[in-house]
Amino acid sequence: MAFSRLLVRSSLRHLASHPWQFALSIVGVAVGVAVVVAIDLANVSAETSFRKSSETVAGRATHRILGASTSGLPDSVLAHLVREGPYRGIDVPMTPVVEGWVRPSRATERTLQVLGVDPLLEAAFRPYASDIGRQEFGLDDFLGGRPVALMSTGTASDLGLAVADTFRVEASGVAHVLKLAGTIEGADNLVVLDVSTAQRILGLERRISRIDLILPDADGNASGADVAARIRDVLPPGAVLERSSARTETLAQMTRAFSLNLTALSLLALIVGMFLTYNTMSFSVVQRYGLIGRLRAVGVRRREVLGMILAEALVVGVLGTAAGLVLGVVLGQGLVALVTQTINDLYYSLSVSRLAIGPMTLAKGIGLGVGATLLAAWMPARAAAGVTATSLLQRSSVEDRLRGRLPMLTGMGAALLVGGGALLWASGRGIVVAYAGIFMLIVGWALLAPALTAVMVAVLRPLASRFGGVTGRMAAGSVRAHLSRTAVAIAALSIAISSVLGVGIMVGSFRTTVVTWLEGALQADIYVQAPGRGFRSGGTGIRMDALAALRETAGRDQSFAIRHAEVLWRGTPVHVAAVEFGPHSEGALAMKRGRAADVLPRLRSERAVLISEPFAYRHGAAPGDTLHLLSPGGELPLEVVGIYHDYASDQGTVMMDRAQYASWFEDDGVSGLAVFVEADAEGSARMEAAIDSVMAIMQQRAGPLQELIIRSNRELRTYSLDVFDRTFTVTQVLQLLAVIVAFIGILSALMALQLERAREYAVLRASGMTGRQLSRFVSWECGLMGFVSGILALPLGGALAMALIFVINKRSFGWTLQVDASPGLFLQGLVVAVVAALLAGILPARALRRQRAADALKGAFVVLVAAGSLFLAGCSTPDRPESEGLSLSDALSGDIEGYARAYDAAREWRFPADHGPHPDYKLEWWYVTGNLVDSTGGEWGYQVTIFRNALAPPRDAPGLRDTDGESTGTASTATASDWATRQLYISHVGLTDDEGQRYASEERVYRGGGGLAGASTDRFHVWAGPVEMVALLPDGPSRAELAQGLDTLRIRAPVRGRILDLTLTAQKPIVFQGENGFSPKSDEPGNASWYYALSRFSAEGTIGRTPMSGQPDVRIGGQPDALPVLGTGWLDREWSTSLLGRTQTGWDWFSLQLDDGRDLMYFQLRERESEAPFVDASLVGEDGVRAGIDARDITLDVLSTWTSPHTGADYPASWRLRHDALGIDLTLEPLLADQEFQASVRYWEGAVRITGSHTGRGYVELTGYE
Amino acid sequence: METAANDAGGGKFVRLEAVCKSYDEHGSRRDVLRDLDFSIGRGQFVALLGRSGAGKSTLLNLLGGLDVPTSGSVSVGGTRIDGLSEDERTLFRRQNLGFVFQAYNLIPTLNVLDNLLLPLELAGRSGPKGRSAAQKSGHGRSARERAEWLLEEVGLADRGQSWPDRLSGGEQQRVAIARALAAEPLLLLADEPTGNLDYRTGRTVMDLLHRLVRDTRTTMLVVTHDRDFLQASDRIVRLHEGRIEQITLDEATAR
Repeated sequence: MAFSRLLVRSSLRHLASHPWQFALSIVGVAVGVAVVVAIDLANVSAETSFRKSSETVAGRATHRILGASTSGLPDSVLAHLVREGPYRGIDVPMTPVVEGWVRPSRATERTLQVLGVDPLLEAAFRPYASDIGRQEFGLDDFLGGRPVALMSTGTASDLGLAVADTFRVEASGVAHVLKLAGTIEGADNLVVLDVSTAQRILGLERRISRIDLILPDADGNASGADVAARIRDVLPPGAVLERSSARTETLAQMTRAFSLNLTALSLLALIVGMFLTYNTMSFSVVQRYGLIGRLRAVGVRRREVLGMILAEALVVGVLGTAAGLVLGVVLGQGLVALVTQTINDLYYSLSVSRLAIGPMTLAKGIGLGVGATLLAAWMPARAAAGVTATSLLQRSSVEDRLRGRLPMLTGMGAALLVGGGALLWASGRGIVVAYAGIFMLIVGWALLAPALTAVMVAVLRPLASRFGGVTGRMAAGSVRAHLSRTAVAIAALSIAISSVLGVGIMVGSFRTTVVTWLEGALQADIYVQAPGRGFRSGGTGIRMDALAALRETAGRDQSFAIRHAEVLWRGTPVHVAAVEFGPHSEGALAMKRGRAADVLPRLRSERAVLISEPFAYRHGAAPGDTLHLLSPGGELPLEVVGIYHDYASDQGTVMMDRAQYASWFEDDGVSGLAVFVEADAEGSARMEAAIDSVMAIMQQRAGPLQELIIRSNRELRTYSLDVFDRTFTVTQVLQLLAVIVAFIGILSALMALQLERAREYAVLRASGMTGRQLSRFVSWECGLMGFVSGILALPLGGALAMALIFVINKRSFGWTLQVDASPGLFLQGLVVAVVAALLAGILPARALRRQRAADALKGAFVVLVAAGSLFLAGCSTPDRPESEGLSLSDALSGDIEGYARAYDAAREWRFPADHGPHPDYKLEWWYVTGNLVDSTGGEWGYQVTIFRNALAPPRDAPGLRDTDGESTGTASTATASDWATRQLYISHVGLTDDEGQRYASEERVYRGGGGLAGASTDRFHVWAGPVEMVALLPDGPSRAELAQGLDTLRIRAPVRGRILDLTLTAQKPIVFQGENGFSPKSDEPGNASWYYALSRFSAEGTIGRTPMSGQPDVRIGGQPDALPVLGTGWLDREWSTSLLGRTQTGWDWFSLQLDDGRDLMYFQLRERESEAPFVDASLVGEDGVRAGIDARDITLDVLSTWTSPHTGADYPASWRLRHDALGIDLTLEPLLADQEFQASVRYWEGAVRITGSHTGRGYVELTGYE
Repeated sequence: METAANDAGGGKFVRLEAVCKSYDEHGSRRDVLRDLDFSIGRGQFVALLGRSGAGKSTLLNLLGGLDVPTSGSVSVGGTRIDGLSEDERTLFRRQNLGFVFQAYNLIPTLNVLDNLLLPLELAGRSGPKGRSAAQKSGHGRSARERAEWLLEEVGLADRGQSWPDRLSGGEQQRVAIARALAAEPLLLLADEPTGNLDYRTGRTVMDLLHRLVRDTRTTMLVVTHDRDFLQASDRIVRLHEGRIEQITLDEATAR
């Protein structure tokens, strides 16, 4: 509404002339908003940080495969999926992840998240992690299991690390030294390692934490659901596939109740703040009754008055909110640490390094601050609008009006109390509803405050008169006379005090319950635990050697192990405590349902478990129910035979016998050990000495093996209570803040009262009252108000405590608490109320004399706002540059130093070993090409190649020793991971479809470890993911002398939705090219390869389509699944370190199978200048005998060229090849011009038709064309 | 909007017919005005006498639209203001009425000039060429010029920027008169305007009020016991036991 500029001016003048009042109302709103914003920031920051780290870690994965047990998933699951997946319609990106936590040093509580990845498979998932090869240290360092790590830039700088620095980390008490290989952006507290290094450090042998996958969208050829179903079909029983977001959601859910409780407490501060605003605004209206009356007389309308007061409230709200936002951010910095600590103690590991100041939080703060102020101002504004011009001469009708409204207020209050109680009663499982009930109780009680205050003051008046004389009597009268203001302040203070009291009783009761429980539960003398995150953590636990040393010390009968683990139940992880029960267990188990003596034997012998009280509450489980836990052997039905009390985790725990657990879940790890010391010593002092000495011996024996936490019973109890107390720190801070807001409320109410009565005081002074008496009067008044507040707070506090204990706590966490409400707490509440009120009275008295002090406050506030906006401006997040994936060409190039070279023909060939890899040499390949004809007469060409590329020579590279990563200080016997490798295996598969005039090629890159890729020395067997060549063992008598075990070769290779499945049968023996397989590539010594071949196989098999491609294949369409093919094959096996000479640019390679049974191999390595190329050739006769021919007798003419539309490279496209002496004059024409292989390295590899003097089929390879 | 400008019956500019006003006080009814008939002609200056509690303020409140009668009708300038809603009465007040109170009742949070500008602004005459300013004052002044002119008229041209609490009682009352006349009301209601002032100051204020009212042909009802006022008035009426009776100057001063 548009209202007069002069009205605005009038308002501003009013505010300016009452600076204290104005400032206090702003401060009240500010503190209320600040608390809400701070808690929201803390909650949101914790969640954002958690989600961000989850997202960073999950990357673009849509799904994940998890194992049944704490120790993850056998890594063979991934190898199986990679190798078999494409044949079963699961050709999707997948990558292993090893996850865990380490501490950068013992001194700090900070934890770093370890992410062990395979850089080669990462590109699709986490660009930052696939960036490894580009960092300071090469891919070989990572893949080779060297202790090199990437770390988030921020974390590295926090830890003062620069690239190439070494740093210590500690995992489960074992120290490791890592070298910082580079930094990454985007995720905090993250250490990225190679999967092999992560396995070693985290003690996961042949296991990974999970497999990440990217399943296609439903609109693709095959829907994600189809693929998911196929994956589930092939997974072993103990593994599950779930959406990546599922786990994040589960974890995020864990803290929901905790966050909600904090938010509710923060809203309490806002409610108290609202009372304060109401108080201030109504006072400012009362102050201006006359003024408003005059305005009305002059012709100002009601709604204009309403608007004016609301506008004033808006100013207070906006300024208070602005200040509150700034204050909230500052406060949030402190609270986030407390919240994070609690989450770490109770839920999951989390590091929050920066406050997430999101627009939602700020909007919420603004909405609540401004909204609450306007709401609080609504009634006063209505009252102001109700002022009639006629009331000009009737000044003090407010109090009368309040008195008139008392019955209504009291009635409403009582109704709210009843409603609130009913809501609490009927809230079921809804925490929000329960809180609504609590807030109704609070507001209801506040509405009763005026009536109760009037009654109480009437009762107290004689007492005040007796002890305070006339000042006391006057004070009591004054509180009553100004009920409209005093009652609001009293209500605000009593709400704050009652919430302190209620929460205090709840926490106290909780603590007593926990103390009692700990006394029963902790029966052993010594507790040993592997350091880990949180209160109870799974992880690798105590190492077996350390455990043996501990048990030896304790005596076998005297120590009882426990295993904490996470297992999956209904797709979500639940905590399992697998306990070695002993004679003490009967006393240690505090049973809620069932008797310990009855259930313990069942736990040992049956498929039976106990569940904790929160578990039972959370999941509605009860004795007699069956839990189907996911074990490595599949779902395991376990009967719940009892419920026990457990206050260690609000998420719930399933307890079982450890021996049973070990057999069911194939996990014999130990997380902790409870030790009983022989009670041979009499007297507690001697007993303690005995315990101390056992602890010392344990430390001495196990310490060198693993850093363990060894605590006595008392120490563990103290530690547990410390954690408990820490958990409630944030709650107590919030209580304190609510009291501060209430304090400001009282202060402001008193200020207003005193200011209003300045004239009255003057009269009192004039009548002979001394300044001292006056301040005694004020103190009496304040004291009375405080006392009334305190008394009013007691029943409300008690009610809140009961609501928190029996409703909120139960609903949030499922715990039964024994109520422990000591009278001391109530007394304390009363004292706090009186003291707060008295303190609040000091300022008004002084302010009467020094009003101008408020101006200074105003100035300071402006500075605060300015500083806040600067701060906010500084909190922007820099964008993370996108990194590119690994480039194979980068990986392929590199130093050849340290590798073996082929210098001469002296070599003794050994099979089948020579079919396997030769890691001394840098480069090696298993190369099969051939031509096929399908059952419809269509012609096909195929290439199936597996390259091996060494990232580093087998021996150490200079500058980094393998022992760098071994532990210092504590011995480590961690075995090297099976994933550590320096070999890359790269498959290239090409398929040429003559009839369809289509060519498809596909490259796959894997590490030579983890079962993903490799080559055997036992027989001809090489694989890179799903691409595989394996010699089948002959059914009949071996023809080993013919083909060295290569009689039959099975080749399987997926390529772009098609599957090539061929069985090759050797038609000739293997031949050694060059001289005894020594094949020089230039005149330079060492530029040569070892080269053998089997130039002619017959091929038989199918070209199928993978289940991935939903569309019928044009070529294979008529066939049910696969098109039968027949044809030939040619195998080249070659390894070397250096192929091209310095001046050579590339090669042209021909493998030609003539229809007369002869096979011609010819290659030329082209020189950069127009020099003659380096050439070689051989001819294998129909009988399989190789004839070396002088390649210089061969003439090769290029007949045409073809320019690649993909790369722009110009390739020769047809040739004339002549050897006049042999009568060979061939024309070579490709089946298809475009047979350019699309991969990280560019070349042309294609099937050709041979015409001319002879006919036949062949393959040509062209490299180095541009 | 209802205005008094359409009034044709110049003789009965203000008319109260059979007006009753009673209050509920602790359950019992107290009649303040009983079956009151009273009218004022346009441009008349009427002085109203009455004992304390006779209902003078009630009568002013009814005429000012600050209150409504229990029964009967009140019309000003032909507008039945008893039939208007609270909001309409406020608007009517803005346009047509001016008040001068015994306690001055300036707005303490506005300076003197702004106090004068407020009724002008409320009446929608804040523009430089406000309708009324141009037509009625004949000076074609803007609101601000008019306010300044009025201040000059009341002899306070140099106090425009002062805050009300810095002025003497007489000065405050002069500002109040200027404010009451600022929006050129058709009816001015004054409640003991000189009651708080010493004789000399009261005399000045009375002269000023009288002159301005005559100059602008404003109808005025003044509650007063000031002899000078009574002398200057066109008519003197007395409120007695809830009824109006016409009296002479002598009768008035005889008491």
